[in-house]
Amino acid sequence: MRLWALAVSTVLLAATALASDGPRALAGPPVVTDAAPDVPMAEHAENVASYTLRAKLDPVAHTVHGGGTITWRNASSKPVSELWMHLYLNAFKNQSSVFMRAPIGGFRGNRIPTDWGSIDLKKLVLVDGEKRDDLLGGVELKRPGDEDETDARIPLPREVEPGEQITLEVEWVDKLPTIVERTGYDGSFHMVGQWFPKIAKLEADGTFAHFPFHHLGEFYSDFGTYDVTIDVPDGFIVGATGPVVETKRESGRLVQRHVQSDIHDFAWTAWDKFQVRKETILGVDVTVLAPPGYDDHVERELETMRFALPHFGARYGKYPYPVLTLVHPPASASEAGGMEYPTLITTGQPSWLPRGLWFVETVTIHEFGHQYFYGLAASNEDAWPFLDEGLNSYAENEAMRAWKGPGSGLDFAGLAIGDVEAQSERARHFGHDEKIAQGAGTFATGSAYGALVYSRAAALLETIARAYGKEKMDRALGVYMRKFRFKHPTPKDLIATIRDEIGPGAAENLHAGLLEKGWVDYAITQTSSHPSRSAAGMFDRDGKRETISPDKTLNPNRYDGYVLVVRRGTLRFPVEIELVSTDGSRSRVKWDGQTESYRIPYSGSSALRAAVVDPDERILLDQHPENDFATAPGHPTAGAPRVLERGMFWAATLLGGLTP
Amino acid sequence: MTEPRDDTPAAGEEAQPATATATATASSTEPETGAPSTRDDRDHADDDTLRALEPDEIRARRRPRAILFVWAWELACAFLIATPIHSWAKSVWGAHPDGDAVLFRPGGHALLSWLGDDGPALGIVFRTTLIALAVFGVLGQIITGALVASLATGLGKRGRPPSMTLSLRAGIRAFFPLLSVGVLAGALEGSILGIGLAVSSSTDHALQASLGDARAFTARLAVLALFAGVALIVGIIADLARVAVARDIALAGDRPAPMLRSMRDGLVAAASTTRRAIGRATLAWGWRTVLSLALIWIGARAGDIAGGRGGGALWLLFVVHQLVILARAGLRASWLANALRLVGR
Ligand SMILES: [Zn+2]
Repeated sequence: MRLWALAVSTVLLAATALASDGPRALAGPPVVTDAAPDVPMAEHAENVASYTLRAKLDPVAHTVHGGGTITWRNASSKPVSELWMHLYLNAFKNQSSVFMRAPIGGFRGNRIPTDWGSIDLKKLVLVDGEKRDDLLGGVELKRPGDEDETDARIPLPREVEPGEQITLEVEWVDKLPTIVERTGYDGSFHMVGQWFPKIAKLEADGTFAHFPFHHLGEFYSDFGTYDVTIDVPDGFIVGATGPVVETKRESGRLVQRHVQSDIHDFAWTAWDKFQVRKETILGVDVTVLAPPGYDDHVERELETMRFALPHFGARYGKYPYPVLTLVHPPASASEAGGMEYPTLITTGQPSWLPRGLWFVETVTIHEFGHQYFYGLAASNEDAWPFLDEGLNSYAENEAMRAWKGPGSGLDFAGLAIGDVEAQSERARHFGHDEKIAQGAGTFATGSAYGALVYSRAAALLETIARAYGKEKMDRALGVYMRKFRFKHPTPKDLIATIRDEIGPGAAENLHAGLLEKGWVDYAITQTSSHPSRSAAGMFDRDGKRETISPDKTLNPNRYDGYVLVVRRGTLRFPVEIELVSTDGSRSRVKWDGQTESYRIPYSGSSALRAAVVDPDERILLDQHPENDFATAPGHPTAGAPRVLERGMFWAATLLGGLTP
Repeated sequence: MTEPRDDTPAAGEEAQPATATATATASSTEPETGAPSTRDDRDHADDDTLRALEPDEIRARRRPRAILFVWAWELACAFLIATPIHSWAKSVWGAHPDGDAVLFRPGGHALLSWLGDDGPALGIVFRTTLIALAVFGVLGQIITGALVASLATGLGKRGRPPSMTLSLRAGIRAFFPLLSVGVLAGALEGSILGIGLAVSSSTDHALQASLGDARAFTARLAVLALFAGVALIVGIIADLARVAVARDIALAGDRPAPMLRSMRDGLVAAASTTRRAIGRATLAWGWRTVLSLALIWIGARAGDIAGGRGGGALWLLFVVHQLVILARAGLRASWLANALRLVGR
């Protein structure tokens, strides 16, 4: 039997066997209870920046001709004399943009476009009653010594008072790039994101949170209503933010109008090869757009949404929009996948991926989770990317585990790996060289950004949940997401909510873990066990002097000893220590973890054999799980007979494959 | 297990190759008629005469000790190959009161932490295991040679199994020729697969625009499967050559033909068998392979069910796994016996 034939057939066999769900996968609808039913939640966002736009796609030249009006209100407490406008397609204009020149690898978007992209403003007029001021000439695209054109400053002819609303008329031309990161084209497939001139978010103190499109950075905007009319050649299928309110077919064109309020961005896609599937889940019209031949993935994505909509709704508040569109890009445009926009997410993964490797489900749940952390909370993703990606990664882990059980990352060929376990291994592996809570532009590498913002933040939250109680964490995040819906929360808001709902210990750990590079390593450094002896020597008792010699002090069938547990690092989680006796009995001792070490005395009818700190694997951030236990000197260790047995079986199997 | 009856060429249909007459012992073999009435006569013949068995005498089930020997060899090798990973697991997790059971916990917290370790252990264990596997795989040619010798030859009229020492000696003599056949076949199979990978990849790219990437990928798999099928046939032909080579070397005794000649003869015999009976050979190899894979799957599932259990459950798993290995050794012997019958004399 040939080895490779064997390997291929085994994988195929395993795939077939697992095709009908892994044995550990939990079937059926989830049990959902509202995490914070008593906390009121805003029904609508404050309308600050609203866009009424039209967009005409030329799928051959890969251009979009756009135009329309922007109404913008000064929602701050100070008068404003300039606007900042993000022109993010210019990130792909040349290699001098902040995006392209960042010497950072290890995340996404590391290719150079084979066709550059840009956005050119053609018209910018301030409409002030009867008066019209042309602002185009005053647009400051770049700063001195910097070629980046993604962050434009627009001086205004007069100050806009707090509460005052202005209207801008705009026209522009997009040249879409080949897809480098999230947006662009691949053949006739077009994913159109960051495509219109967009006013930067104005903070309450009157300053604009404006920033160039950074390689690792995402976005931050004010809420408003988007009314966008998309015009594509007939035969193209369009997916976009918000529901379709009007469809027309005229002179070989398809014209679709989408309107949605309470959102802060708008993206769309157009392709002549999309297969469309629709389903209403919990009152939400879910549309899946996928390439031909992806029927199984489409079904898997819908299955995910049937789980995720009620699950996230109960945890973080009801999904407030009437529609959700899932876009599965073709394989050649996979870089467009794995991204979130209001009511539109892009998924991905290769067509052949079998069930059991839950990556289709994970990416779908992750991007849907962003509807909450990016979409509804809308924190500053440039200043605090973890508030979106970290919280959302925790929510993804939590949901995947609730849905698929312990094999929530993969449940394949007998291996059950959890999504959260994989995430926390990545967090431990990367360590704690940098802060989690820092701006997207200040991470040293893309891997640091990925490992800290996503994995370490998620593992920190999961550790807090396991150490203090998952119900408390469910409640805390439920409160946070309801209280700060449409409110752009900051790390302070998160930590305060954790303090109120879980307690000061959890809040301190969260603070240290996020802002002070906090870490922890519990270890058992000593174990000792010996037959119990009473004291020898001379004793004056009842008026008589009694001498007890050392060979008469043995207490039959009693053993004494101790265990020394240490806590290294700056995080202080409460833990349990399990003591195992030679008769097989086990007992547990609690330790609040506040001091640096803890000596646990042992006394029992049999000798102490071994001890384990954190026996239930609650402290996922524990830097070295392999020093969390020890066997007392003089006792045989349990060894690794299972690895030997499995190793021998697979070695013999492989060896058999090498001979005829 | 039952053997297909119709794939045995009738004895005497073919001329005996020259090498087959040069038997290990000098004493001449009495001519056989193949008629049932002569069977009793065999009992009284000289029992120390090693002879080539007639095709209808070549049966794996007549060589249980040889199959047990193959299993014992694999058990010993498996222990040595598994030693590096076992030592590593034991040194890291052995002191846990549950031992390496923590590595089998659902979720994989300890497993990931172990395998994700930054230290040099993983690389060292991986390389050592791979080298051990390669070394024992190469040495396994001797065992294959011995198994074929045991299957193809017999003592006396009844064709009693030759001694293990005799078979092993034949296996050692067959080592280089068998290794060479293996290397040649491996190179050929590798090239076919390499070409298959290239052709299937360009098929995929050519069809992506018209069919979409999902269907183009299915086409890629189909093309690759075609090449894999051809490579499998090459493997089967190589097995035919192997058994011919090993049998002839066993029969040549202490005066083996030069290596190149015995290889050439083996390849010629394999070629003629291919022309005559490649369909039957493929079928015979195929069902045994399917059964063998099913056994591996059972072994894997058993391991999955056992999880991190120790004690009696672990011993039971060990027994199940070893039964799988033993049954697979039996299936391999059965295939080699079948190949010997197909190659004929
Ligand atoms: Zn994300």
